[in-house]
Amino acid sequence: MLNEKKIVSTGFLMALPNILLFLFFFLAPMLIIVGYAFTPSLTFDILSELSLENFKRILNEKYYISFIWSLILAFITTLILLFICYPVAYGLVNIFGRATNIITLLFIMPLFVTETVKIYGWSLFFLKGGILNGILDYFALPFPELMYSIPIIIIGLTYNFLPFMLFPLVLGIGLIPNELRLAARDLGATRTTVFFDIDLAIAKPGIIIGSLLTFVLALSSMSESRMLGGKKVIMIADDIEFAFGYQQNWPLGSALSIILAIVATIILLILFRWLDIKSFIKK
Amino acid sequence: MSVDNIIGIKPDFLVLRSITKSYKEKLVLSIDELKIGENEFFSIVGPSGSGKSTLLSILSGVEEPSSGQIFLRDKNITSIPAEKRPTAMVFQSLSLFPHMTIGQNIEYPLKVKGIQKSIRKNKAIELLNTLRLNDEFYEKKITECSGGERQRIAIARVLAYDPEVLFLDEPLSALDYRLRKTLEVELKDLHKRTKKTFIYVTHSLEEAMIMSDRIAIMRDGKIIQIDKPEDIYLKPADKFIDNFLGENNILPVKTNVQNGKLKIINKEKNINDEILSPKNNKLKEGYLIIRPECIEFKKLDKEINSSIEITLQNDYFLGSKICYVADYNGIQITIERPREEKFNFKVGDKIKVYWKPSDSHFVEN
Repeated sequence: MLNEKKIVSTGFLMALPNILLFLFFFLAPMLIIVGYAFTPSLTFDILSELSLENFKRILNEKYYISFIWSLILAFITTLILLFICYPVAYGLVNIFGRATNIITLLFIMPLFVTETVKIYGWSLFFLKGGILNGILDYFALPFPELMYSIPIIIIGLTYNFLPFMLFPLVLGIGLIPNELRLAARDLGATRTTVFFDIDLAIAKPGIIIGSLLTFVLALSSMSESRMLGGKKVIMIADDIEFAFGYQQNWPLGSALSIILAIVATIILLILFRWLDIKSFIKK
Repeated sequence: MSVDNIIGIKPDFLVLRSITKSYKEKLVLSIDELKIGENEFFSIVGPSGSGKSTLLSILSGVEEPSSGQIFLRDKNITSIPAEKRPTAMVFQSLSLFPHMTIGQNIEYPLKVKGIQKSIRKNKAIELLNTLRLNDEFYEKKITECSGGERQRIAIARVLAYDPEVLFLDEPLSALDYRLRKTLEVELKDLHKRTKKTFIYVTHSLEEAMIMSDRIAIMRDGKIIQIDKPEDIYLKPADKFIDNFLGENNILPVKTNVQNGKLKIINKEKNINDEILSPKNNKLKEGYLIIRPECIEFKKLDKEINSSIEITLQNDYFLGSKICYVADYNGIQITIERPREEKFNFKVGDKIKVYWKPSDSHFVEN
């Protein structure tokens, strides 16, 4: 057959542009970061000398505190978002009807504005003498001093990453035909049982993807903790930026990045094991 | 026809009284009385928009009627929700749970009841066998099953709930013709074996006829005829039902009473039969319905013959039968005769055809 003479398959040729793109713009920078992580501190010649100095320093200095804070805040944010977004996503799929498009747009619109601008907006809102303070004063209500506290960081993270939880959930909940709920009810299941056996079980891929996105995004965030939290806590992304920028210590920043990437990957692998990702993509 | 006439069926098992259902002031269902017997295979047939789905929703408890009552074994169940009724439904989409294995699907109603795993499994396998599926299916996924297998699994799952009444909402509509035919027979057989009440909703009268003890035909939110399949076939209550049966010959006629018998008068004058029909004593317009297999090419002996002259147009070979298509004053006439009686003709031949007056059926306009 003619095709047998071809050494390279058509499929491979079609995939080639993507492969090149991936190699140059994604894998190459990653490799550079890996290289720098094993380069002595405060030098710029990549792998001029193989060294574990950066990792030793991370272990000796209290970087683990930043890691823990990042993990805790990302975890809380993800959990809150799950509880907030699930009912909204359910509404978008099953209840809002014609209003769905407008409501969806309202949730997408904040994405058109940069994170920094949105955070400044929140600052003005929560600041002493700011919008919230003014409104509460008008009604003679006490003003809670939220600025530069941990709750405000969580509010900021929750707000910023809401769409990343909402839309995967919409996809997940969209996988459940209403007849399945009716059928389960008809077979004697209570509303609660149906929610756990049918809704949550079928929407699982959406729930996991949404959680994953928000968790990873929150894990590598820093603006919220810096601008709203006033560095009340230092998140790991802040440390990384500090190492690369202010300290001009690329090797240290690289080592921190690598550890963060590994932590995120481990979480990702655990979740993917739990979820049959293929079955989701096929649909 | 009432339920009482069917031997072995307890009437008044499921009774509907003065049921109506309106959506936004619009009346979509109105039933004075409907009695379904215990162990009956009862079908509800109608085109889309006839109210058959609404009736099913009310029977199953998914919706409440706007007025009227439903009784199951003399107990008023009108406002009892679906999940608390001893009834279960096989949905049109089958509604199998895609994330569960077949075993888990069938066991689901038992699991909800809190029944032990080992007992559940035995019951599920027993049900698989009842539906002629082998034990291997227990571990399989829904995606590994064919349409017919899924159908059976959906029924097995409903049977696991052990309902007194099974509702089937067009469960065969998505299947291909041959499989549908097989499953029709299987369903009827299953009904006999399980001794449960089956209420089957379909738009296909043909499908209902194969399986049902009785059929209710619906149009515009009303039941227009309830009868045994045979009676619906031979004596459709009106032209609408007849269209549903397909292939019937429908002749517009006028009738008059002469000597206490009904006489068909037509401008053609060659439909010369006397119809022994209900007490019609006025001039009426209507339709004469004749099944294709009742029309013959030969004059019948010792019978009062009805006849018309038709122009033959074509013939089709149907295996054991031959179908002839002819024209009678612009009306298409279909005749089905056994293959042995093959009639040779040329297109355009004008011939007389005959039928027994008792084989034709008059319906009023």
